Amino acid sequence: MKLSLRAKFHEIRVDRSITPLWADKIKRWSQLDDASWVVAQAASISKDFLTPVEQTILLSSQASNDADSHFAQASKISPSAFVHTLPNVRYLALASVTGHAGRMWCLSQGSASLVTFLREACLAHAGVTTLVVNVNRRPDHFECDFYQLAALLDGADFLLELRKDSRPGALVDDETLRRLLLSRSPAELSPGLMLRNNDVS
Amino acid sequence: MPSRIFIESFDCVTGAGFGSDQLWAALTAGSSCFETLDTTSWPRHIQTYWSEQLHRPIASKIDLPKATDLEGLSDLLARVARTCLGDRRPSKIGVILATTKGAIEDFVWQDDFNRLAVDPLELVLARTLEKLPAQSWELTQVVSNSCASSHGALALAKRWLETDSCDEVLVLAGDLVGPFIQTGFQSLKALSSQGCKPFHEERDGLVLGDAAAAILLTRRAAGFELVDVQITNEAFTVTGPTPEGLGLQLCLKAMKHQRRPDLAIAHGTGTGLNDLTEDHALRVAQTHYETDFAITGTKWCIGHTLAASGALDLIAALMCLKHQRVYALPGSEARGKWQAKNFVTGGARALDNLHTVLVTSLGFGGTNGALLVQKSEAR
Repeated sequence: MKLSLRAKFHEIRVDRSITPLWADKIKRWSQLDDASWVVAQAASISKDFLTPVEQTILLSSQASNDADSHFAQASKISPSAFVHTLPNVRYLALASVTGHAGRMWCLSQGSASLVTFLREACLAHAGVTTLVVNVNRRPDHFECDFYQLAALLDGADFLLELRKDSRPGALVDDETLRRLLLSRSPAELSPGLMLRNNDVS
Repeated sequence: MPSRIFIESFDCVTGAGFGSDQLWAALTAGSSCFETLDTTSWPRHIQTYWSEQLHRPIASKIDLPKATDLEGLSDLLARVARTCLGDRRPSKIGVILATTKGAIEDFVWQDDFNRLAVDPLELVLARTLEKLPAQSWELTQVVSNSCASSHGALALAKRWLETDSCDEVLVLAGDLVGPFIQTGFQSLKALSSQGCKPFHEERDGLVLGDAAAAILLTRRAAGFELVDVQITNEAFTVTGPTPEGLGLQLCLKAMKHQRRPDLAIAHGTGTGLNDLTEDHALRVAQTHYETDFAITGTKWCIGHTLAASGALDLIAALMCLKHQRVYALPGSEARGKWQAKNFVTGGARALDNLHTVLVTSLGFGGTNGALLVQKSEAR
């Protein structure tokens, strides 16, 4: 089972001192939590990459911990803070900027969310064009990465190959996988799931 | 041709008690399971917030002996999972947990929560699996599609089965409602002060509820068939659906296997917006299917159980199919004017030739789900 993969990486600092280019696309955009703001910003930067797909997968190794903490620790209870404590609402920022909406799953597997989904994609989603959005807070910025997955993608950067004897269980975490992708380093991501460069591209 | 998906077993724990028979007894007796919550152990600033509110928090609660939500919720999920699996150890089985907040209450009040590298959703699944007999799980996943999470999990399970990735999929669903969730919904002015009255003129909001549920899906012929399940996101606003219920309508249109429903278990939260939107979408569905199918719901009885609500509504549908009976929405007086027809009122009653049930869900962030389930003819 093989899948081709294209990746677009973003490292973004939230800057609320300026009106973002996508402000007119999202009602009350200033109330977005940081993760949704970052998704909107990344979608605006890479709009050409985000062609319509059959399904979107939202991932984060940190669930909505940022928004949860913000709501719980605030001195004043805020309804606009509470609505962002559901991680799936980030999809609204993405859909509003791109203009595409449809089937979406918000999935969570801790620090191996992306690796786990890539194996699942090879097994169960191979015929479906998929966009994966992975957003995570780092100490001084956010990473917001987009991955396109399909059986055959023009200009794919990578190939995923799942051997018949594959087994569940991540061999690398999502942070390591990101480094491998950025350095274009082949690796075994989970037992029997191989990441290779697509040299044709 | 996609393979047919069957429901082999199911179980639940709700404020009505342990097991689906307890849920059925409460639904058919017209008993709601709400209680006023003791807030004395809640964080001080949350207690202060509630002291300024016009009503006390009420909810449908499960009496949990465990000190933490992680242990309590995983105990409940392991219990219902064991009921579904029995003594069998399937060789190619997947497991999906639907949850909105998992064990968040255990962590969110800690000052250093932000620095903890913890996923409170995945943690619940991991702990639940530790409590089950040793088993190799071919695929595991956690779905957090807000209040349509169960539909999301069932749609994913269907995909795993149809692609032959698994022979069986255990769908778990659970949330516990504590001060974090209660206070959040109160801040949105979404909570009822009097009890939940779905599709009622005097409705004033929802009541939250604890729940855990398990549903075992398989390709082996069994007593019930999951005809189809569809999810979509209408991406309208964070908390409000489109007035016409576009997302639900899209789910219904996307059903690859259409069966005319005899009954709908509506999401029916009892909030102003949800019920208006769903009313419109259900009327469109009645027109689409050319039948005024009966409409009822569960949230007046066990509350809104968040991620588990779709699974609980599916179990209620299975119980209706099993008993060939339907239970009523509360309050037959002053129901108000609705576009959809045939809301069930006046107590539980037999529904002859009940064969197919529609179950709907709507959630924050524009997420929607719909499924059709029927008595199996393949057995």
